[in-house]
Amino acid sequence: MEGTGTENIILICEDSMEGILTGIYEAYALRMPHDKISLQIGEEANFRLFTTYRKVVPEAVKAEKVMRTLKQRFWEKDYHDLFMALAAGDNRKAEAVYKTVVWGLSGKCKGSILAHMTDDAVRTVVELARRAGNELQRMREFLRFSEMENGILYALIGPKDNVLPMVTAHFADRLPMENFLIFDEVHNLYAIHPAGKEWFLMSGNVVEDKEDRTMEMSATEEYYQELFRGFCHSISIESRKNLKLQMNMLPLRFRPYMVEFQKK
Amino acid sequence: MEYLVSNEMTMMDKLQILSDAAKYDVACTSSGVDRKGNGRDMGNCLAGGICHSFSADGRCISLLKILFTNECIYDCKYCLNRRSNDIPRATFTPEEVCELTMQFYRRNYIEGLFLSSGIIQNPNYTMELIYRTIYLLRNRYRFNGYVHVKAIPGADPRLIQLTGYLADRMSVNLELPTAEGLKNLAPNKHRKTILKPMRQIQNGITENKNEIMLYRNAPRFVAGGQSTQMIIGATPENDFQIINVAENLYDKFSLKRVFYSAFVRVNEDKDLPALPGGPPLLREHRLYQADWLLRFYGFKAKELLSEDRPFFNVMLDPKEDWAVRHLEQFPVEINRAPYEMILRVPGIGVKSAMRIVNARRSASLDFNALKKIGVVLKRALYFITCNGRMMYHTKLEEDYIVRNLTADAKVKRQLGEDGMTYRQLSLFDDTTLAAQPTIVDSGKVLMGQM
Ligand code: SF4
Repeated sequence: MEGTGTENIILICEDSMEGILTGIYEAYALRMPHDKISLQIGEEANFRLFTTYRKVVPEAVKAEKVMRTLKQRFWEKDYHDLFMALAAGDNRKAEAVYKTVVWGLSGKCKGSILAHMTDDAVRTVVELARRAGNELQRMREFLRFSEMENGILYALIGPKDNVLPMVTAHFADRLPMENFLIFDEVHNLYAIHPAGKEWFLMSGNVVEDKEDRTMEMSATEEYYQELFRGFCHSISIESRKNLKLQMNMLPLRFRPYMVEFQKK
Repeated sequence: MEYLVSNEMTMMDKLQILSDAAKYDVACTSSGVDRKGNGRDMGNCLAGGICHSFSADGRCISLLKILFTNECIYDCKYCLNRRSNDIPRATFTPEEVCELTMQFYRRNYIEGLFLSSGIIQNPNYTMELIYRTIYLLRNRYRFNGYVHVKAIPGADPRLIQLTGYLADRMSVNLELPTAEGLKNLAPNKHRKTILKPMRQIQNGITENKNEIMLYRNAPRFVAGGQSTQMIIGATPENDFQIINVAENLYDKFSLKRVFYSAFVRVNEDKDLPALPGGPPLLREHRLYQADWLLRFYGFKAKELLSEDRPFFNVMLDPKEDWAVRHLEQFPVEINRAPYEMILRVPGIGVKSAMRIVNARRSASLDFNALKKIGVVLKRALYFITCNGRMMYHTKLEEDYIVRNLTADAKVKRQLGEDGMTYRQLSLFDDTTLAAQPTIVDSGKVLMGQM
């Protein structure tokens, strides 16, 4: 447009950390003004005119390069938030992170870039990072393990954002000598932590039959669940009963995953 | 079940009795300690603490909060466990407490243990049992999660010292705000005996900080700090007295937290107030808000209340109340006022104030910009200007502002809904001003694993 002949380019990325970081790499590789480029997750329904759409194939090497640069050039907290934003279940994240990165790398901004909340992209990143951060915190709080007959701990979660990696890192640090397995049924991902070893993620499709989900509980599992249910009940003060407050603190969507809310 | 324990009480019965008996202890936070896992033992601690569930009263369940025993040789009038009550009694063994803690923890039900106790035989004997339990938990069961224990007033200081090296937080309950109240309702307790272990723990923490500066690997003593609690509304003290006591505890005893517990009338006793309206929850709530102002907003107790005005306002929160009585200090100019003054604007919290001072460095802020960075203007708008302009044509006048602040507030004044929720009060208490805990290398972890 504007007579230069340059069209706008939209890079379509896969909805994953690797996908979006590769997208950012490709955007720089285009060597065009960044305001002509935008990043998008998945196809958009209404095509824009004068716009070229290009699919980005995720490549680990490119993504890692971008990551290293960010790590060097951004404040630790900013770097952390950028990654949290990328975990958010929200399609605005690709463009917002991209434009924030462009601004951060331009050198025009001193100090923490995420402090500049008057900028739209930055504000979106901060908002998404906060949201994903909250979801991560909720998972650390509300996830429940059950002990299976082979001693493995198993948890089923349904987070809005793709926080399973951070959730797993948390429990790996906390329960280093446990074999545990977490299944995120929303993102169809398994996290597997063998006792004393590194943990890893697997796509739900890869795990052959869903046998893990039908594993038997250990002999004492029911006993401890019952004890905890009893505890949650007796620790509550009747004359302060406030179900609305409880609801605010612990929204319904988490409760199906929690033993204390399962009537048996 | 096959889990029958000695004296024919099931574990279920014991847990029921001893958690029920512990529920009036309000402190259930697991905050103040950041300790990574050691790669071997079970457990770590996050500075911000973690709430694992919420009970039907909306309170956070973070720790396995239990009494070691509800036997008690004392007869405090407000307490269910007092000697003169005829109630079922139970006592754990140290192993049972450890086993429960470990099994609950690995299922992610709890952040750790909060162990308190009735006084069995004498204070020393009781403290020894507590110490033995925590010793086992740390050394035999190798539990590395959060532990909060009560220090029993009157126990041998050496026992308290030893326990302090195993605990993340310790607390001594003040019970009632004044010595006077204590004399009336807890005849076996004395203010002096309560303050003594409090002072000891304070000194222990200070010395430990010095040790750690010298020897990085010196064992930690009560790293999560000391707290206390007092019962509100069982005795006639006013709010002014209470927040002065709290201020004193923060200043003179370096307490991390003071908890307030609305009195629940569990015993029939002529010396206890009737409380037809139930526990004084709103009063408790206002005290927490004021406490927050003392700790994070630079307010002094005497700014908030006075001898002539000894109670908090029911309709306004303590900060609004202060602001409308000090209109000469307003409006505050958002683009120039010091951080401390911005903090004093009703409706602006620590986070918003930080965002404002950060954002105004790169651009002058108008009301739109404030909204963009997430500052909620609903209450603040009466007290601020952006480049000399108010947001609307509001009057800087007490009656006018009070009317507006309270107009739509009636519904929202319900507990936990006026912006400062119980969760914020209890969970993020110790970390509001500290740096956010960062996940080291989260990016790398992610990429490496995907
Ligand atoms: S010492 Fe007093 S408050 Fe504590 S358990 Fe005994 S009677 Fe209750």
